[in-house]
Amino acid sequence: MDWQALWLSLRLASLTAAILLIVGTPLAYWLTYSPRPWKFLVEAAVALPLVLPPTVLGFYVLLAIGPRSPVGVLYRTLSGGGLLPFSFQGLLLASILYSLPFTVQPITTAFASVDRKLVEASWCLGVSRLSTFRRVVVPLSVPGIVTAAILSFAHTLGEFGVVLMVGGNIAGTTRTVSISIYDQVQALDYRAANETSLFLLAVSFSVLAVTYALQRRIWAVWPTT
Amino acid sequence: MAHHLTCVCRKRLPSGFTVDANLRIPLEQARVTVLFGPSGSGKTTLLRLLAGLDRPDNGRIQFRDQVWFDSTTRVSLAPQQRRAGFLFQDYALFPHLTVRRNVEFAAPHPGKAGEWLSRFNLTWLSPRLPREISGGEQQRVALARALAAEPALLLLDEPLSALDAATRTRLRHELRRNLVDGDVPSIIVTHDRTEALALGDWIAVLVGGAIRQAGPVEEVFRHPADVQVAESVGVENVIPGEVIARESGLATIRVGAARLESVDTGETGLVFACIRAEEVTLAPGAPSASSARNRLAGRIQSVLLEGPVARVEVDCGFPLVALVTAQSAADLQFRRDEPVSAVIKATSVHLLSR
Repeated sequence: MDWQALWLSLRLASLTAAILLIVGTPLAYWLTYSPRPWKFLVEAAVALPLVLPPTVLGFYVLLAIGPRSPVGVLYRTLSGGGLLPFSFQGLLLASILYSLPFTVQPITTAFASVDRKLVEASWCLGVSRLSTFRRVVVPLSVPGIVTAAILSFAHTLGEFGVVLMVGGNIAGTTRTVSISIYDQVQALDYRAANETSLFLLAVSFSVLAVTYALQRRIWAVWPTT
Repeated sequence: MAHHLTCVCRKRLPSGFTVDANLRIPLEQARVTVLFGPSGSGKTTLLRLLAGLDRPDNGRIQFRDQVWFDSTTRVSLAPQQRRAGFLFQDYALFPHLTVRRNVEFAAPHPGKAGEWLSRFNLTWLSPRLPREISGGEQQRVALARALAAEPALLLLDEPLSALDAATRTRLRHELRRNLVDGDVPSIIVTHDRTEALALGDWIAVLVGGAIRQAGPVEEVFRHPADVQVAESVGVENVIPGEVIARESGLATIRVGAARLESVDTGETGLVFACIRAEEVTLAPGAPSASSARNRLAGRIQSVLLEGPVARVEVDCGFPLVALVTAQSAADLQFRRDEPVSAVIKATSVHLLSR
């Protein structure tokens, strides 16, 4: 089995899920509570990766992070000459965009299902908006937040098209486990491909099983109604 | 100005219904104000405008010296800055926090919360979650939580409506006692006239989005400003008194120098004796024997013709309003200063403890 690729995939998936929680939570909050009439446009943009072919997303990300693009130039200045395409950092950026809806949608749903009156009750008790969010909205949304983290982790673990477009196939840098399986099949090494695939299947199933088990428990402890 | 809550504001709801309220509450006199009106009259909307949860289209809200909202100077304080505690109809307790954590939620320090917990007899429920306690207990927790945050004003939206009928009656007096104990001016929304009488010192009657009348409870009930107010309040005579004896199923109430008798329903101490004006029978001259328990001598203060009925105000040690047919009033020659006797059956006197 390609342990190097597996380790890289796990690292990529964990980092993506972690960064998405930090980025996705305020975005979900804004989508839930903003009175702006045009927020449906943002919702549509966030959901795009769900329907867009990964190659299309990968293609645009590749253009956007190219060395002459504003993002590329900024990154080169900040990192002292680094390039984003075909690097782990570039891959991370693409993964974040690719899994964005898998984080934002469960969290938005969770926030929206928190009874508005609880939030208003907290405000009327003199508790600030931020503090109310932290002490009322987030604790009551834990199941949704856990789901979001697991889904983005699992989704990133299985991505293929975007990786190929943005990261290529550089061992130890951008060769993820799904690319590794593809390589093994191309090389007619079915035994190795089978091993890795089975391992990935087991990991994915366990992660999802744990999520659903956990969710049930959390729901039983904290009913939102 | 310093001891008033003034609210002059308009808000048009998406449904097209407009709340156009003009209210001034003297906070010294009115420890508990009841915002009374039929369903759909805009009571909850007005309460939310006061709390800062909704914004009026225009107008001005001032609490004591602090301007909460003014559309001309573009002042609009957030709910957090107004410090108006809000009790929701279903109490909105935080479901993930224990009773103690709920009360501590906005208390300046945990000791303060502990004080309110023991004052409302909730200490033994401290470790429970809201869904593990009864509706009445939830109400006490919500009230303790609001008071522990040291609010400047307390707003209660139908605080008893989530309870079953028996609990509601039991908790009415407890709620008033707790509110008066809490020593924070309160505004309670209700559409129930018994609740209005049992809870309020002051009442503002809201009909169709507008305040039609406001004043001390007894006064508004005795002198409704117009037909709609009269219809919604429904009881003309609300007489403050004290139960001085309870014997063989009858209670005796002292009202100044006069005495009233009613069926004993368990009330003691200070009460309101409520009598509908059409339940009062008037006869000219001094009282004579009859099966009715209450026969009071008095003098006619005024006779007001309202179509086929006459509204007669009698002074029998306390003011009493009677509704008789215009025909009877003419036949019996009811005129100002004429002596009359008012006859009221004990079953027509309804007591509400204070």
